[in-house]
Amino acid sequence: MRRLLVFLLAGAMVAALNATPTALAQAPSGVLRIAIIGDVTLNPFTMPQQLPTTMVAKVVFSTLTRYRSGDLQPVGDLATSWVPADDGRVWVFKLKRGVRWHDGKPFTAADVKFTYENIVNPRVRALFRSALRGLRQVDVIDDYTVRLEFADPYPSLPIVLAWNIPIAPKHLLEGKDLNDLSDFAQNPVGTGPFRFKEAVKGAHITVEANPDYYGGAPKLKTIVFKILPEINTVVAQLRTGELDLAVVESLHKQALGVAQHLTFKTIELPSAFYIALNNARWPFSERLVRQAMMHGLNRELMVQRILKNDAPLATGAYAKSFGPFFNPTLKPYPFDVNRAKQLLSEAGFRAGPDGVLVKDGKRLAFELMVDRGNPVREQIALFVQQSWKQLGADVKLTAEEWSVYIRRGNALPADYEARTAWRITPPDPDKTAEYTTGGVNNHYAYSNPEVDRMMAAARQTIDKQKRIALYHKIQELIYQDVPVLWVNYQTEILATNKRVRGYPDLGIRDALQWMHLVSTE
Amino acid sequence: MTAQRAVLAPTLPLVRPAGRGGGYLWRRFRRNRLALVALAYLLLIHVVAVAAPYLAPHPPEAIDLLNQFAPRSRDHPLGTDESGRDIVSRLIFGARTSLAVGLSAMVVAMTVGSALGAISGFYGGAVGAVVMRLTDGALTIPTFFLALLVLAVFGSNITNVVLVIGLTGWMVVARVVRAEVLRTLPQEFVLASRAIGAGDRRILCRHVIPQALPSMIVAATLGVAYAVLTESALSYLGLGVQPPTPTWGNMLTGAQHYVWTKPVLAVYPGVVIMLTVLSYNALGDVLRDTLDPRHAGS
Repeated sequence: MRRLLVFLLAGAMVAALNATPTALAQAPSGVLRIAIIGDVTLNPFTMPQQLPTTMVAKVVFSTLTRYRSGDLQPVGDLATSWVPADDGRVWVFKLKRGVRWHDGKPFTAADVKFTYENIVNPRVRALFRSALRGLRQVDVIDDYTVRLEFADPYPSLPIVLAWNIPIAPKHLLEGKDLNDLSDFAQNPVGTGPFRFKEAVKGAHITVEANPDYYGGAPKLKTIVFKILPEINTVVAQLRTGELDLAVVESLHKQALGVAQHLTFKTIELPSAFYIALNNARWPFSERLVRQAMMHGLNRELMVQRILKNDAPLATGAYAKSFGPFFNPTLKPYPFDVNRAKQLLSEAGFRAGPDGVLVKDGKRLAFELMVDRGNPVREQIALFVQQSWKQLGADVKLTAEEWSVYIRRGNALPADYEARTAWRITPPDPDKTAEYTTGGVNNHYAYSNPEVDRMMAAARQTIDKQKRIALYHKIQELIYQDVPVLWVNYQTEILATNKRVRGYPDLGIRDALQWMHLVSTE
Repeated sequence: MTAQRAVLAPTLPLVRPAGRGGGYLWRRFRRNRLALVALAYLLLIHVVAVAAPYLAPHPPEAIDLLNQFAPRSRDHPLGTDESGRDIVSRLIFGARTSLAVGLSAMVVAMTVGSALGAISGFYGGAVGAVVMRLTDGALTIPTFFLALLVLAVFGSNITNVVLVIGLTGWMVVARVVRAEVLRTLPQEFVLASRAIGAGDRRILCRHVIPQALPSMIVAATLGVAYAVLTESALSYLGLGVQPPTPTWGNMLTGAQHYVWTKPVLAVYPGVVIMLTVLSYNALGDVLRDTLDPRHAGS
């Protein structure tokens, strides 16, 4: 009898503890809460290339240009207009008047000169150095006009400037060691629509409206960037109304779909998700093997079943978002197991005693690396492993913790054989960093001298038709070489609370530059 | 004689007592219904684990993207998971890995713990004190976090997991064995053996260990419960056995993302873990009651 009583009591306790609050958390008006995945370092020169820092920097700092909602064309931010000269080797930018830094001092062309000169300064570990490659000189014509001179024509400059390069205050940072701005980073001063208020490590970063913003006073009072490293916490907080805006995976759409107060937006990004093959290591140095692996992978099924058709199937390196630069004549490699096996046999592989293919005494055995914690990518990796097993490969799957994954995967030379990969880029067709020999993002060691030549030429060509023709040919060459296996073009799925108004039709990185137009009801 | 035995030898001696038939212990055990259920379940799950390749209807790692989240059917008695893999087969093969890791880790813990406990109790003095302080020190370390740290640094393959769980669970065993040794050594039959010239090894093997065995069995049973639970937790966090090898813990890792839409995916491995750990704990408790009547009812 007493035992029964004890059980009942325990049961009641468990039930009470599990009662989920059904009422939505009361949302404070004028405050927007966004999820970010980690802490930030707000040094405008050496900022790490990771999403949380990028996101907060976008509301605190300004760039010369930014992307327009809808067609991603660059429009002025701190610049009002820009004119190329000498075939795009020289650019003259006219700047906005009356812009003030968050500490009240006026913004002038001298700040632009200070920022750009230090980005290409070899003593500064600037993140965006390759974006300004070839910058020879920056001249201040007057307080509101600046002239940039490059070694070679640079027609893409306005697009690249909108990507991420914040303008830093000369009056605060001149003479300081720009590699170590820990004081400034804890209290950054920019020209953006929001002023930095406070950062509580591991918890949140708060920014408050800048009423003197040149684009008009923001409609919001504050933005709180909540640091939530686990996607499940993000999903839970979206449900309860503690979070207004977050990027989620397609599988969360189903879980969150029942919530009446949420709405979803899918934005196509100009980047591809692919299985990177290390072209410098056996067995992927041979094109036949890479092509076989591509044919052996049912990418259409992956897009349908794992990505739930929320992302388009990829043909090659360039996404449809590149508009006229996208080569529409290329078709995705078909899924054909027989062709794959035939290619492997052509490459000299024969079936070994245990079913795994062998060539010159070496088994077709390698490692597939994926980053741990993302259910979609882990599912993709498992499917890829199984698909290649059917071709006769012995694939070992390793789910690495994020920092190890980045270290092994992005190093030059890279430390992997095959891995899941993606690269977010500006909507500019120049892919020097990704597909030329020695490019900083070319961790898969792809090397085709003809592509190198054409990529350099296209980067400097100002005639649009000529550029389109060049980039189409480049795509064809890369497609035939198949250095990596493109699976899908990436889409960003944004979950927003219906109380958020005025959010632009842009990926979150670009949308954050328009936060002065967003409001909450 | 009987009175003396009650004072000096509170644990029933393993020598068959005069007048009581064999199976006396079993009959006592049998009286506890909970114990029988627990034992039956454990036998079942171990047989299933050993016969996994013959019992599982499908390969546990076979992905079938056209058949995700399938409902229960003849072909898939418990349905399929997020990658179309058969849940029953994964539970069966998961039993194999989880129990193998649990039992192996227990063996490691028992070996290390018994050795250290016996040394400490047998030799006493400075050696004994040092070993005991070492054990106490080890007990203050938060073992789960230590396990996470070690696996993150040295990699998480099955060997490392077994070693880590074993080397964080030996302390209780050491204390138990030491207590038994200290209780046994001063007894008359040991003194008598010494008097006729028995050496250390003979005393240990022939007298001390058999006396300590009941407590060690109880510790071992509880140790397996701890090991299975810890392995599940480590695998759930991604630091235990790596996919695609299924264990009950890493089945939960996949299921957590679907907890709002398909909660059964988490319920199946969760229930199995709970039943297994509960059964081992129940078994351990009942064994303790059976083998040492002083503890009965506590």
